[in-house]
Amino acid sequence: MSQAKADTTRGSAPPTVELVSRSLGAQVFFRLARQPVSMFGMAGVLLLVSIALLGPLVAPYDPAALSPERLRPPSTAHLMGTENFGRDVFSRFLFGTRVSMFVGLGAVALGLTAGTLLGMTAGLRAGRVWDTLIMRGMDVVLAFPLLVLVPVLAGILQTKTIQIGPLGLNSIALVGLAIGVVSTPVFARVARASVLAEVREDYIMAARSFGAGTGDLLFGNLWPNIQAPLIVQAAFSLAIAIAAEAAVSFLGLGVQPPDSSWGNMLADARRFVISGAWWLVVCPAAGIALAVLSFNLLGDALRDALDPRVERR
Amino acid sequence: MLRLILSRLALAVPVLVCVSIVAFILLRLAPGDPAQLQAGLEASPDVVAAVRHELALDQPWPVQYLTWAGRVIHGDLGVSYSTRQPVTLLIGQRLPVTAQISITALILIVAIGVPLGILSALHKDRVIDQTVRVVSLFGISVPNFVIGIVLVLLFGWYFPGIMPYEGFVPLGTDALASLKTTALPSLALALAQVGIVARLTRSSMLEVINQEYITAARAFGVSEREIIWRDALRNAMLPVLTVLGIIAGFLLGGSVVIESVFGVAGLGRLLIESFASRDYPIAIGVMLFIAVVFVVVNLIVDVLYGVINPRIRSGYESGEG
Repeated sequence: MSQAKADTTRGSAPPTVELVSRSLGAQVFFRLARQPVSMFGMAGVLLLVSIALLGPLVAPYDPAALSPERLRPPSTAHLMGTENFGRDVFSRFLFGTRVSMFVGLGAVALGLTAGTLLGMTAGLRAGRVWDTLIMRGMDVVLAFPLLVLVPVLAGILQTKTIQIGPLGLNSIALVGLAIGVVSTPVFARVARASVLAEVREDYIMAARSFGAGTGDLLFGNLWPNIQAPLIVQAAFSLAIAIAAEAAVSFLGLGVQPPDSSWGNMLADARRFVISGAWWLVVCPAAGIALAVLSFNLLGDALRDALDPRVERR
Repeated sequence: MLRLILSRLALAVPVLVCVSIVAFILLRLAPGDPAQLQAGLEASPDVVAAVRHELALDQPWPVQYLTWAGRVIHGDLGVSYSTRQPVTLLIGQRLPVTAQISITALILIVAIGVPLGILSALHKDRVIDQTVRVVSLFGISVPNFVIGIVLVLLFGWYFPGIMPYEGFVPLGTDALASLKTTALPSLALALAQVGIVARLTRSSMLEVINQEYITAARAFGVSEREIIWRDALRNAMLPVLTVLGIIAGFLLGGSVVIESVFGVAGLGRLLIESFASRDYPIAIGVMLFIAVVFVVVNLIVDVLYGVINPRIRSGYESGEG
């Protein structure tokens, strides 16, 4: 942050007038729009979100409807063929996109919220018991490889439905929860480091001297100044979360049938690719690849766009 | 150097203790009763109670944990509920499989990723560079098990008989056949990480090449070949080395899925199977083992880091690290 300020005063890149009057969001959007690569990322995300929202409306078949036409290759009746129970692969893909995107977005929303709160409060109380407790706890979570911990958590939570009060959690929500827990430490670390860099700044001292409470400090003063790296991390975490959901569901420990997700579609596909059923692989694999690629590109682009130091490339 | 290793180990112990406690609690929170599963689903309550007593599952959790932890200190991870074999023996049987696949993958990652990155950096913004960057981006974006399924499709259906796509032959039985069975799983594991290493090598090479000491070396008339291979590469490898530590962890986790794709009975399969049968001693034993490997790998990376970069080494030795 301090470096950024130093750079603008040096005036290495003259700021364009048009950018000054725009809000941060608008500035970022226009910077993103200038690069073809980031446009591709945004287009990919937009496409997947549209499929997630609208896909079930245009799905030609009920994704769970069985039919005697099993393992048929693509035809005009079944755009992507049928699987081993005769269910329409394209319809399952459309519904599965909604599930996979929901799990990814939900998990990252959870990880971002929890991690940011934990990391910010830890940073504010740096060196004290709370800080040590939180950050060592995060170390424990990070000591497990992602693909070891998520199956354990999801496996633990893996019952058909868990009832918490009026809230019924199915396997979809539980996988999201497990991935959310696992993605928390990254956000906590980023948030803590950013807070540590900011607390020594004069404006925080000023706010403190005016008697600002912890809540005011966190959300009024600190959050606006540390959000950029967290948003960038969120984009990368989305890519990881979507890949993780696919992997866990592929192992049979994630989203359970009859619900479809990209991961459990590939698990079904694994048994039949040896007999050449390529159409079972194409859609879910493309979905996963497009999602991970798009969010990674978006993350890269956001990192450049949100960094005031990178005015022009 | 010894001080660095010891202090790192001292830091790792509390984390590993917490890891074991968390794993222990998580497993017991899971629905499903191991005693019932072992006794059989139709067993009478008396039989189930007897099995539960035999497995010591009728004791309070803290007692169970402390008994287990006391044995672990002596290198005993307990006995599997279902096969009654020692967990250390089971890990010992499965580890060579996972290790062989992971190490082959790591070799592939370095052997493909680093040269690609150097090539890309030396031809910055030209066709080679653009191609490498696009290919690595796609490599990063396709999860390893998806690549694995595509490989199974390719070698199981379109080009059958060239490469085995299922099972595993131990190295001792038939070395060539063993390497062949490792090839596809390792490739699937490696491809996703090759992109990361290529990208990192590229950016780190570019950064180093623009440093003043490289310009100085050029001014002194040192040959370009020597600059690239002796001066630039050595310094550019630092961040790559760090990421290789992280990648080694990824490989362990990734092998959990890859072993399922290729039907290989390694550590990952053992872990997944133990979840399904609620075989707590195996599950917690494997999880702890993986966490220990993770810690050790990162320690080795830290040490290597010091070997390559003397400044960091002296920092640690003077107590500033």
